[in-house]
Amino acid sequence: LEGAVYLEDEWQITPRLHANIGLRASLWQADEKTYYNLQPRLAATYDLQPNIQLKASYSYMSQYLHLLTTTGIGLPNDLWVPTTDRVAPQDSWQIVAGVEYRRNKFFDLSIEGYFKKLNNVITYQEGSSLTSIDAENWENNVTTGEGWAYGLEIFVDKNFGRTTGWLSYTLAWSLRQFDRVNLGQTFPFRYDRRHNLKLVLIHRLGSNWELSGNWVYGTGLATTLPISEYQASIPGFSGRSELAINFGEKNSFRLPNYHRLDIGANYSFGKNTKSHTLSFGFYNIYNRRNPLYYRLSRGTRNPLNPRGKQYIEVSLLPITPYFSYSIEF
Amino acid sequence: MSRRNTYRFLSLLLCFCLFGQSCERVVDLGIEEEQSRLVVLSNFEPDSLFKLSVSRSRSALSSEPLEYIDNAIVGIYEGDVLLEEMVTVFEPLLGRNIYTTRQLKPMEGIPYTVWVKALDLPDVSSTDVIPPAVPMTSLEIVGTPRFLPITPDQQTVQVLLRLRATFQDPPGERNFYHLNFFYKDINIQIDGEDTLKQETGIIIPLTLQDTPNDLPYLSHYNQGVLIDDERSDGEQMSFEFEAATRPVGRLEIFDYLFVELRSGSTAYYDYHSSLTLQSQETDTIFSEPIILFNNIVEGYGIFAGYNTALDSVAAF
Repeated sequence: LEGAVYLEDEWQITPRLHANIGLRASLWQADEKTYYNLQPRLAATYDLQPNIQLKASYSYMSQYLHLLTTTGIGLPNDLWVPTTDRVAPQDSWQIVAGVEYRRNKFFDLSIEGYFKKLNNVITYQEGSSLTSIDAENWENNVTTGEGWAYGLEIFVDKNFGRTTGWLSYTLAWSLRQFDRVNLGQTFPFRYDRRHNLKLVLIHRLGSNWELSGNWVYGTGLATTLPISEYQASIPGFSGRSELAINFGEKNSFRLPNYHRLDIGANYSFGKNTKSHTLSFGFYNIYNRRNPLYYRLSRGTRNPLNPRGKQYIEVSLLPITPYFSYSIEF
Repeated sequence: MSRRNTYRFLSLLLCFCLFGQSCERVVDLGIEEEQSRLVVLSNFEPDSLFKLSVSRSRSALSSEPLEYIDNAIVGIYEGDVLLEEMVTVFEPLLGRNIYTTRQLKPMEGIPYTVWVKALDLPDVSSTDVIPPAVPMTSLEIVGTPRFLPITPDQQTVQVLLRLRATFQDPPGERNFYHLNFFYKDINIQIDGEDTLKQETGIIIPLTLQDTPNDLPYLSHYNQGVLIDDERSDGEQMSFEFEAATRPVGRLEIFDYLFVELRSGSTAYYDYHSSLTLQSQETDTIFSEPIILFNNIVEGYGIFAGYNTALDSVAAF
């Protein structure tokens, strides 16, 4: 059972200073426990000049659904699970401060810094994964922890003329700490990408045709690779000897930087009541092999790996054509 | 081939080509291979000599044989004071030399440090302490044991029985346990009408059949169950398991069944649980690496203390 009430007020404090104040109260009834939360939000803007605006916000948020996902890389395997007696709701607070500059009929520029703290986030404890849990035992296979995300975002938007588009750049850090992952030590989260750049351009050719291009660039994802190994045969323990693999710190390696260019064309036609659009183009036009993950191949039977141990790169989505048709009425 | 089938064939061919490109390839990551380090492995308990193994690690990309080292200098210290230098002895169970103290037996609550120097590798050290023992409350056989014939003539059987072990977890502190069930190997000699029983000194673990593998239980890679009291601090802990003996020809060899409750240090639990999880991991695209605990400074391995409490029950 979930319930929530939200109050919000727009407040023009001075001709230049404007605030939006809100408060959300929510509750969640688990089997035995009831969770309550008061979540204040505050956002303020100040018009420094007619085309320059300063802005800042603070928000505290709580949610009763958890995204259960992995902390490293591999195939995405996200599950949504509810708050229970044992798994408390997750919450976060965030502060954002920035400036926005508008140059009419040319471009908008926005620069923002942010800091976000997350509490009671969950993930699979080491040794568990999507394939090892079910509806009965998932609580025994998750671990609770904290997260931090902070960085700077720059956004330039050109929305006038035949060529429009936008450019965004993010300098970001994202960290996690869980009791039962990485021996309790803080580590870079799977989405910890130091640099993220995205450029989108759209050029209109007459009234029917439109060309578009989209280039993304990002620092490689953090990953974990084996670095050494030894035989774990402990005196006093008769029986099996295990090969112990040392990975160092979790997510201490980086995949190669990610980049990709998509291009496309749209052809629109039709009358006022119905409009049709044909779209076609290519994802990853220069066929960049962006690795999804690496794994260490140990066998010598693998024809890819006749010499013994070597790293195998697994990548997806080479150059891929697309075609779509849409109708609006 | 009709035009429709031709289009279908070309579509499938295109999909196949795309998948073919999105595959695996060998890559050289250009990562500098890690130099070999000393590996020290030791678990110690009160009233037993220190025993320790020294070897060297190899790079993850190396296929060289893993070496044990017999000529290391190994010392056990209390603070800065050398208590005893260890010597090598042959360990029949492992089939190789290990290091042991000649007289020094560790005591509960004292932090011991091991220091190892060998070859041209960096010196390594580690410190740990033996925690207090937690006594067993009881060990019971639940229900009636079952006898599973192994051979057609039913002369060799495997005994299946349900065991319940109970102990009281001390409140207000984090405790880690390693629960083992075993019996002692007994040699039987028949002398006329007399049956002579003699212990061989070999401990035979009972195989646990149905150990849950969700926290707080973790079925140890070698034997027994690891337990973390995080969610049951101060409670009476009772564990019931189906256990199996090895196939035997004579039931008289079972005298008593034993439970050993090891109270491990944090390092003991962290190492054994992470190594166990590594050993259980299946290599799927959804699994993530298990970070192995290590408390050897400048090297790898484990130097950790544990305490024990024993209880027993008459077998049949």
